[in-house]
Amino acid sequence: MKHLVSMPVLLALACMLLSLFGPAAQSQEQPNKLLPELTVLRGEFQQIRTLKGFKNPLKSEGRFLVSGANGVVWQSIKPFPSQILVTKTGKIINLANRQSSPKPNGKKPNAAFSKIMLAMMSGNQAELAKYFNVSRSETKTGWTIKLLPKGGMARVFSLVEIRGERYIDRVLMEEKSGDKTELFFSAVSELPDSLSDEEKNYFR
Amino acid sequence: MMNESRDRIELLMAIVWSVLVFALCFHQVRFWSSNNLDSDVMALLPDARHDALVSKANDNMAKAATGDVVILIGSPDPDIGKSAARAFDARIRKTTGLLRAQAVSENDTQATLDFYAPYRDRLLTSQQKKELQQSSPELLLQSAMERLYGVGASAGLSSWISDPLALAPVWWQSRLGDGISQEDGLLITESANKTWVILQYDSELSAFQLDGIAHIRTLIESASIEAENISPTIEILTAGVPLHAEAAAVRANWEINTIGYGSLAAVMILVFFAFMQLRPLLLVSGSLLIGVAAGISVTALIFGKVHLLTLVFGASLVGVAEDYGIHYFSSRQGNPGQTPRSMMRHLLPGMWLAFITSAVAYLSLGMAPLPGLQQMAVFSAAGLLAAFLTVVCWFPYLDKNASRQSWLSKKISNSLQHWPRWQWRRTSHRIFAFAIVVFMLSGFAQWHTEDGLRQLQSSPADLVSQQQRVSKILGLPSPAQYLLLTAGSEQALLQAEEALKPRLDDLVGDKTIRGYSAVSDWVPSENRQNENRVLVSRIEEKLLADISMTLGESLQRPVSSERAFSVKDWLSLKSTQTLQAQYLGEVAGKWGSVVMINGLDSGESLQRLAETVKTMPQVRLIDRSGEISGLLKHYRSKMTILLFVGYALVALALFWRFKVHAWRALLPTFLAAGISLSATAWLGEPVQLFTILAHFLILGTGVDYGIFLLEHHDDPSSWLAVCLGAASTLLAFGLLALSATPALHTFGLSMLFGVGLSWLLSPCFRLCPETDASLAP
Repeated sequence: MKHLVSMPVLLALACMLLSLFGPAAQSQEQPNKLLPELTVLRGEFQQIRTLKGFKNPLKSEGRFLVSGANGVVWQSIKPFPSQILVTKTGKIINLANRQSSPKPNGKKPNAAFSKIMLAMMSGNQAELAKYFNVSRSETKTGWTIKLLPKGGMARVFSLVEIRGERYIDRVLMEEKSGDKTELFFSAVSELPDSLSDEEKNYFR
Repeated sequence: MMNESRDRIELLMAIVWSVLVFALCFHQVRFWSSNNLDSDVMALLPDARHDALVSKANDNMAKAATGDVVILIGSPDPDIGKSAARAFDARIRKTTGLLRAQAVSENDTQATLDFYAPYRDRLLTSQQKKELQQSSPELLLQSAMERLYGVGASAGLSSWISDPLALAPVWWQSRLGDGISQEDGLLITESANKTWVILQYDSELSAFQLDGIAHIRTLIESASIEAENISPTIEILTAGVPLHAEAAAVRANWEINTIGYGSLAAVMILVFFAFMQLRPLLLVSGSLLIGVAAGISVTALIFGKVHLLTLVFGASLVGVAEDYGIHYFSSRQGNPGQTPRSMMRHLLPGMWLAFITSAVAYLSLGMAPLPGLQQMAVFSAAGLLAAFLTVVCWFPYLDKNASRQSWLSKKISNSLQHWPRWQWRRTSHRIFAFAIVVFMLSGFAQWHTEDGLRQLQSSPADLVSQQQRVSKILGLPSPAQYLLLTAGSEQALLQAEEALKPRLDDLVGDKTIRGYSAVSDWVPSENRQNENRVLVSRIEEKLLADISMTLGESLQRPVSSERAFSVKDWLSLKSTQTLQAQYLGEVAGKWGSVVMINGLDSGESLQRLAETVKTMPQVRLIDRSGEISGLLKHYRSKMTILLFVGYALVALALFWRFKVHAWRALLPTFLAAGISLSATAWLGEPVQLFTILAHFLILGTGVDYGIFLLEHHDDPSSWLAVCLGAASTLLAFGLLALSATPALHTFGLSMLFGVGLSWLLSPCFRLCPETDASLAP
């Protein structure tokens, strides 16, 4: 008979690390949508990152594509060109070489994070509510969604805030470690509402 | 005058025996109040193979797993699997006191992360180390820059600057393995195109609560129904020691109730109806009890401890002693006119011979240089002697009135006259003999042996196969096959592990094994920690300088611990408690640890592992199941030889008493044993250690029947004694053939054939009336 000696070890530790990214509780019964759920959304982004120890913020920019059915493609242009696909199931794929990254296998820790991004972009509140306490408030110019991390997520983020008008305009992520990332979106459009052949190719 | 002095001697014997029995009682109280029962199977090995570190390792490995129950719920669709798992879990949580969900506390998790954080630059996987040593500063700079400007938060365990190469997440990942991830609060793994949700529970049932009711099984079944209500397509696998323990307990409970109490009741009813009195029943039981107690005490006095297996088998062997008491009461009943004491004198020569032959057969067990067999020999011979003396010394004084002959005993006694007698002259008898010889020879052709551990296991096949699948899906190492490392100090031990691991990595690389787990994975040796720190700080400082140049920054590398951490520091962590069982610490001046191996499925991979570590003096491959199988085989082959020695010695003792008629006492048993062996072989039962043990018992009892019939030939009351003795032996041991444990089943089956046939065959070889005169009484 085989015993289960290392089982609890594996799982306990998997729990430990992965709960950093895992949800704290089940989603409550709430309207499922913060934003209109979209079939396709395209636009440009600019990211500004403020890191501990750095005097100046780090800026990058590029384009993004959200396909409600498939996932998100991040296409950085400056300062380094890159193409990253985040699938709906949370897999991260580097489209330049079709390799899952980071090594090994791009397995899960980042999956939850990419799902959050996907949920933010496509306005899926149920998904967000697994990781955050969500509160929405209206302002004169639009709306603000505050995401207070719970469970293991609280060990990584201290605050996530999304602002928008018609679509998302800005996402702010403050990490526990003191690092901070801000994403600004512009030229966002739902049209054309179907994927071009080239775009479909991303998700193949 | 003669009789008077003989009376006095007998009275003196009875008194001396009473004093000895009193001393025995005293010793028994002391024995049972101190813990002198030994249950370690390894204690049965010759002394040279004892090792304190090995036993500590075995203990640790066995203890670590005792309470865990693991459930896997599999489905091709992850969402269905998850909802089914939630339904399952909800049902389990509704019932309290059986299974408690295992949860890792947030505090322990945080404590573990905090523990390792200051040592971040001391921890590298071998792969990371190689990459860092080989990569160029340009390449490292490029990938660091890509990470700096990548989309999204860094979402790491620490700020970017304290781990610019993202070493910590990779190190953690390799500690945890790729296989298991967490989704929506559930642990998930993938295997064979299915997503499996892993649920883990602790059994809250103590060993004492194993009352024959399948509490855990029932709960799991009702939870499975809840889960299957979500979707009938899901598959549920269960594993864990408590499930096997419960199945064994339920089975054992059933067997004790039916086989144990059933046979006990049958024996009591039989003896009661034969004598129609309670006294014979009580006295015969009493003699057996004293026999077993004496066996324990003498064994404890000689060997210091009594092994559990000695106790179980010794007690069975002493059970033969019931024949003496029954013989006495049968004769008393058949000759109510004789006084108890003169009756005893009349029976004594036959009883002595029966005792001596059995004792000689049992003592021959002790000729092998194996502690277990020597204990068993001493135990059974001493027990037999004590039971024999109890009958001889006490019974004449305790037995006042001979019982009336009952209807049952009359029937049995009279059946002897009509029993067929073997006659070589008759053709039909010769044909019959020929048929038996053919049957025996054909049976021997089917002979095969089996020494695996499986014979001792009664777990249902379904549970075993589920356990194997769970182990495979989760990549669990076997606790019975592992590497034991020994060194002169803690640091030397960790270094020995680190020297071993590259070789194991090669075996993982060529798929001989799937993986391994070692203490040094979690606590590298001080040397290794310092090497890593030197490497990482050199590279990180260069990298930060390069980035500062490129971006016009002045980045400062945050401080990290100057000091290496030790095993002692690590042992304080709660979350790694199960891993800590692999660290044995200092035992008798030596430090030891266990490296667990995952994926030792075949004998071939075990052999390749053995070859790999052969040249490393500090590493030993421990193969518990192999060792135990080897031990069983060793005992089996030794005991087979001793069985023949036993037959030879018994033949000598019989010849000394019966001269040319000795064969009449031995042949029935010999034939019965032969037929029993070939009958079990025809039934496809392998010959194993327990078969041979049964044959010792067959020799011990079967010959007694021949002796009683030869000593008191054509005496109906001796025949009654033989019948009662044989019937109760059959009821006591033969019913074990119903047991689900292969070892007990084979034992029972051999006894059923062997004792049954020697009972039926013995009267066939009794003396003919015309040869009466030739036998000297």
